[in-house]
Amino acid sequence: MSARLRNLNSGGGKVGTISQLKNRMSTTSLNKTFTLASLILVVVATQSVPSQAQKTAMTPEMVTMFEQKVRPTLEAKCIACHGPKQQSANLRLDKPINARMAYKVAEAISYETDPEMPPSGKLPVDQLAAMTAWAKAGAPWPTTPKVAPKTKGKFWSFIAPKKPTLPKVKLKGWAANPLDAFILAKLEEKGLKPAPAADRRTLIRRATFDLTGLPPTPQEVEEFLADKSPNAFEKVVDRLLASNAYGERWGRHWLDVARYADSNGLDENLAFVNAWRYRDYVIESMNADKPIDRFFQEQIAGDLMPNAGDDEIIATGYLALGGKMLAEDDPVKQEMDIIDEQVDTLSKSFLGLTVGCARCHDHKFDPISAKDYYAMAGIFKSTKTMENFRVVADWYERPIGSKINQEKVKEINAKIGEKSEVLNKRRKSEKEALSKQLQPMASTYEAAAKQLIANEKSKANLKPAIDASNGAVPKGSMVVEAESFFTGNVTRDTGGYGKGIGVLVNHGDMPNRVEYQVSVPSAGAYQLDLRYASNDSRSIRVYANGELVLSNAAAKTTGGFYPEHQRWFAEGIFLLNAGVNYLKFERDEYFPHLDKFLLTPKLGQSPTETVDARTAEGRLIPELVRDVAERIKRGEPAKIEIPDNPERYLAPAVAADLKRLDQEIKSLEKSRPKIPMTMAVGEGKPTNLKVHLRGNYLTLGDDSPRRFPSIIATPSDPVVPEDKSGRLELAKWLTNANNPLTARVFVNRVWRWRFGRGIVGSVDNFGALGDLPTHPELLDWLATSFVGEDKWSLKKLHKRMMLTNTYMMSGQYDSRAANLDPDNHYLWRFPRKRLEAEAIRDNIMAVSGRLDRTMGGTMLGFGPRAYVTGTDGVDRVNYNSTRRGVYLPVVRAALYDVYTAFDFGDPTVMNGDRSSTTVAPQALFMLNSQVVLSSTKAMAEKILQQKNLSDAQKIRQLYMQCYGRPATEAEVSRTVDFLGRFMNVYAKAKDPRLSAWQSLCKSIIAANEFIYVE
Amino acid sequence: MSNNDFLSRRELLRSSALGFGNLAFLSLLAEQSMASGGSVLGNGFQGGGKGKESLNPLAPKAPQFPARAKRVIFVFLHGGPSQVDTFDPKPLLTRDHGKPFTGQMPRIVSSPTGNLLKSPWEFKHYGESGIEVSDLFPHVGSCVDDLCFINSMYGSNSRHGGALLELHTGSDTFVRPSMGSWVTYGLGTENQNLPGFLTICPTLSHGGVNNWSSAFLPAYTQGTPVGNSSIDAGNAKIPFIQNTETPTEAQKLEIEMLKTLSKDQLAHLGPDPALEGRISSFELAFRMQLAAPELQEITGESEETKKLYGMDDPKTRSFGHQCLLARRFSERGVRFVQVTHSYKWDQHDALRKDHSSNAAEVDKPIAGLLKDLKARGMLKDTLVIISGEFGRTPVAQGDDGRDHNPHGFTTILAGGGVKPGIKYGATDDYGFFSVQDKVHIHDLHATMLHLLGIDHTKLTYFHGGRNYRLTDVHGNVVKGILA
Repeated sequence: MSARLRNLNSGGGKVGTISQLKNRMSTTSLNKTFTLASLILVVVATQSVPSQAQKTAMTPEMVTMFEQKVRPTLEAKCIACHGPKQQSANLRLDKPINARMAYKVAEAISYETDPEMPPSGKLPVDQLAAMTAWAKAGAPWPTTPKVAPKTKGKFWSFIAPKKPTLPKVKLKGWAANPLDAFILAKLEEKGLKPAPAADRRTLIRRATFDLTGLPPTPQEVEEFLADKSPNAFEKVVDRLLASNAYGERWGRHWLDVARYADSNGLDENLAFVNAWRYRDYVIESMNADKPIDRFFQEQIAGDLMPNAGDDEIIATGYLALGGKMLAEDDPVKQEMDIIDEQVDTLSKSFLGLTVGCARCHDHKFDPISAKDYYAMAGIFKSTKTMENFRVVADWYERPIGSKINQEKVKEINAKIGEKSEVLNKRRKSEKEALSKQLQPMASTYEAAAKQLIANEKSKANLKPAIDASNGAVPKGSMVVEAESFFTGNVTRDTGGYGKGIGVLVNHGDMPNRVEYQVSVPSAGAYQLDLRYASNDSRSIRVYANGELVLSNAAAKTTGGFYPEHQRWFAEGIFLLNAGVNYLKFERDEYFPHLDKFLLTPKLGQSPTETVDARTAEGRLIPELVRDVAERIKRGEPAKIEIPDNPERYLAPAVAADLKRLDQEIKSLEKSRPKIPMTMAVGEGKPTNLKVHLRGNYLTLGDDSPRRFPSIIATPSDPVVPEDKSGRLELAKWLTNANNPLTARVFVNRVWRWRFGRGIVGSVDNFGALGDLPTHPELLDWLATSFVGEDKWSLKKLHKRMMLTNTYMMSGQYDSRAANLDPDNHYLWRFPRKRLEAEAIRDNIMAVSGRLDRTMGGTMLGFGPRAYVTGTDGVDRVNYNSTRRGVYLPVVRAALYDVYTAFDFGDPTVMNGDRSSTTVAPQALFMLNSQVVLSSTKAMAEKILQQKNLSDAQKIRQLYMQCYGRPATEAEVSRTVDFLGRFMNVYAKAKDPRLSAWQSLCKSIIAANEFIYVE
Repeated sequence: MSNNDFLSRRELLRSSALGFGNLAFLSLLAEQSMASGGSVLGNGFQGGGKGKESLNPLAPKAPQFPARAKRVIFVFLHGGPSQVDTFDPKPLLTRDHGKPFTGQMPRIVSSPTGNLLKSPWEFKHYGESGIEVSDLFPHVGSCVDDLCFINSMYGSNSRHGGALLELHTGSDTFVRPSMGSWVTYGLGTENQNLPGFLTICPTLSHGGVNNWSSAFLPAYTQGTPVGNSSIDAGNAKIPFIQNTETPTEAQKLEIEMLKTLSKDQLAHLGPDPALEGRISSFELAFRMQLAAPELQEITGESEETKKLYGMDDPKTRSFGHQCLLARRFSERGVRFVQVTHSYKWDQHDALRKDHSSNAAEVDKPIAGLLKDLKARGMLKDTLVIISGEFGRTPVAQGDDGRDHNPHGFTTILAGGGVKPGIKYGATDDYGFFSVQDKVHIHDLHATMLHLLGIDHTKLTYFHGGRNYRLTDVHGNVVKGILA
């Protein structure tokens, strides 16, 4: 190796430099030197005369080393002057260089000869070592893996679909329409034949779940059985398509694709209190059969469409709903991540393409370049999604509703702004004045603070008045419930924090404060004990008759905020008058969760905290004395610092003045009309992005003007205007009839939601790594008739799919077919499907008669941007509702457990292909969850009310209700038998009959027939 | 065996991944496998739609090479414990206390900071290795000869949310499978009546579920929460594990009846593995229900053991309970157990007071766990990881606080093939930046997988158009700490 290096060096004669370099490498803690060494060794071994170093075959380790350590340095530090734009010293470092140049590079970066490079300063040790090793090795350059260039038109999904000719089939009578013909042709080609037709009970159950996500009622089943007209099934389909439940079902499918959720998830789980408007918009659009091209356009650029109203603005919620890192110290990264989420979701949901890969490099498998990515990202960079990029950033929301009100709000906001400025200035100047006034008194404060500390020590000797072993209240003591305050600005909570006891919790007004009237028989000293729960130290001030008597009460922590964390503490002794006294508790921030307090006479004793200093001098502020005391305790200088809200310390007249200003602002706020807001996007500043090398905004490449991916672009595409974001053009381009992907991807999604597997199995990936279509001609026939004859009508598409022999097949098993096509890809029978999470829950609610069919609105129950799950670990969302599942809050990172159990999936990520697993937690849910227990109880109560029915008749009714079919005689008698056994088991229960019927209902809904649809 | 047979079983497995594993189902599959003349398939390291999968996805799988650790216990100290106040003593920081920091500040910072702030705590040498630990951790100090201190940890994100996600999943930007899910996916688990990945009293903030989620990995690899951080460890339970209304006898009968109904239906529908699998899942659920409560109780533990974990002291009782549960679950074959000391370590102010009380809550329980594992002979094949999501700055925030610092912090490893009694890597003179033998969170993940017998570059899952790894395109095994 050294010989080689010497040889390399013969021109410059700088052997010394190299050995120095080697020494430096070994002493600079490069534990990864082995890679560098091997890199050098390989080069030496394989090259006699390195002319073009890149001819060397690099090992994968070498490539990794190069990509991780060398290329980023070249890009960050070198190519500005030695790259495509400038080639100072005739050197380009974005391309392979020869060995001589490599040597010069090694010299320059060593900073030991002239020139010294980079001019901004010597490279950090590890970068220098890597760069030097690379340069010394002759600067090997990885050859870009030659992926066969995918030119336009090569891959099937990038060629626009054409209406295919109908295939020839043998079983002509079965192929009543083109869809059946395509299916049959493939079956015949594979040596398969279609299953016989399904019976009518199966069919109506299948269609009802399919279109509405609910079971048919026994009456609907009977009507269909009785209808002898030839279009009886069509009538059923029409009825279902016209029902509101249709939009709730198919809207929910789209919400999977739109990764809909009511909270942010990711890092800061804030409530999206207005997201529901988008959900309702989707449901209404489905019910109205809004043409899908229009539906898509509205979601991308509704606000920019002619005559855009509230609906069109709400629709753009699609772009706003993604999960975002809201607490990110790097605002540029934050913005690029948000844009990335939009580009990735949009390209997967509408185009079935994984464009996101191209953020860091050209897509390895699909013809999407990094330039394509940043061209699209530019459109969203030019779109306003966020209000700001601060830590815990605010997303953008737009007003909807009356325009007059919107104007009024603007006006009032301006006034509030003016007044706030006045107030803040005043507050600041008062604070400064006070500060000046107090500084000469620092030593007086220090003395008072020391006195206070001395007093406090005596508090440590206090004993709680309540006997911890039995909770007995001493004689003569008075217990006061904290909730009994006569004035205050906190809330009485008898729910979670105060369950069973009632406690005080913050209501939003600061400082928190409460006042009590207490009567004591005689004047003198009393001990105060407080019972509270707090997980952090929340010390309160206690005032008796306007005098601060305890400045640091309730400072202890109890390990939590809940009733089980409540504990008594002795807080101090102070003087009260005979008769009525006023006690005030106050804290600048949240209160601890106070449950009650206790006053115990200690008539002989002296107060724990004398505020003598104050009364003596008449000019010290007790709170500041306390503040100084805390500093002394921490061993810090005893300086006086005035808090940002100095009102409490100011002269009453000044404080009143500030308060008046504050009141004026508050009343202006109150006069502001309530404007409904919606999560939406708007136009931002039109900006092109540069390619971010390796996805990093610190290493920028070429400019990438806003446009659409070149592989599917055509000369007739709309051009993005300089002064617009390009969203409207994007929306038009996507829904252009010539776009080869949009319609195909959508009809394939509908096929997947209906038949359980897409014609292209990978519904979200139509790229090279996706599945190939099982029925390419059928897919094209569906896409072209959907766009052409049906003008993007989803309801028409449903009928095209459902009024077919394919849809009406039974699920009958055939061992020969099962052997040939075990996964039923070619549809030799109708695929059996397990219901989705919402449908399972809704089905349970429906058969127990509890389902509430109210539509729309929100059930989230949080304030705007409130934390849905917090650092206290509490899940505060209430799912205890009998409304349809689609209306339950979808809380990211703390999903409803029923949804988690049944494969709802992660609502942070779009997903057109929910999985359907069979896991033990689902069984536990069926056995133990409150949803199942309360529903089956309701079912049992209902059935037992029908006193005129025999047990057998009740069982028949349950079967009709739950399975949509009559029970066989064998089933009835066996169930009667189980009923008897349940009665035995429950012999000692409170209501054996009810419990027995409940268990019976539980078994029926837990059985496979209830949650699988044939 | 025809290709179709293979496909069919693969499909079946994808749809019937029995969440907590299932012996009955396993035997059903074994029968099928015999019937079709097949043999047990590969170990699933390629995973996903493209590779091979073993039959019962949760059955224990052989590692790729001999493993030093069979299981992991991850002790997570949420909030960011300060390295310079605990395990990374910095004499120069003490010397230069109150002076401005003259080095280059990080490009991105969370909050404004002031001058250098020395540690208020003294450091002492412990054990034969003489490693220094601050007075905050005397009990952990007594274990130093079994511990490996990586003083040169660093990450990329300076906020809790991003940093938690990075530590748990390797990504601070996207929702990705957590490390427990990857481990369970790669190795299955030993006890088929319990989940393979449990997280005790986890926090719901800063990513919440995303920190134990399987993301795109199969659902059976999802972490199962036992309670959450608002619940005392003594009351933490696996979700839906019991209901108070249905007596065991009635539930047995319910399962018998639903089995009868479902079998009946199956008889006229023809074979359907998904339907059969669902029937078995009820049996498993029932067995779990019988097994789990005993595990969640600690009544069988001796007073001595409880004391070891500090359960006799109100300060340490709750976290001690968590640590003891972790040992019980690990002992019974759960592959990955996490315990969380929830969001307490974030001392932007009140460092002296709160770091003291936090350390007092965890010091004895952690030491108890280490000692107990060692006494039971479990430490040699259990990898214990003790870490926060980042450290804290040596410069002060306010008078008595420190800001977030992902640029240099300390993670402790123990057991499972890690060199005991060593310090690895170093931060700079003030403990701000990792400078020597730097270990990124990706490297920690790579090393953890290596100790478990897995090459981190080969544990992949195909999703959304490409193969994913816990370490994405990063990660190097830290060879210097391997025993």
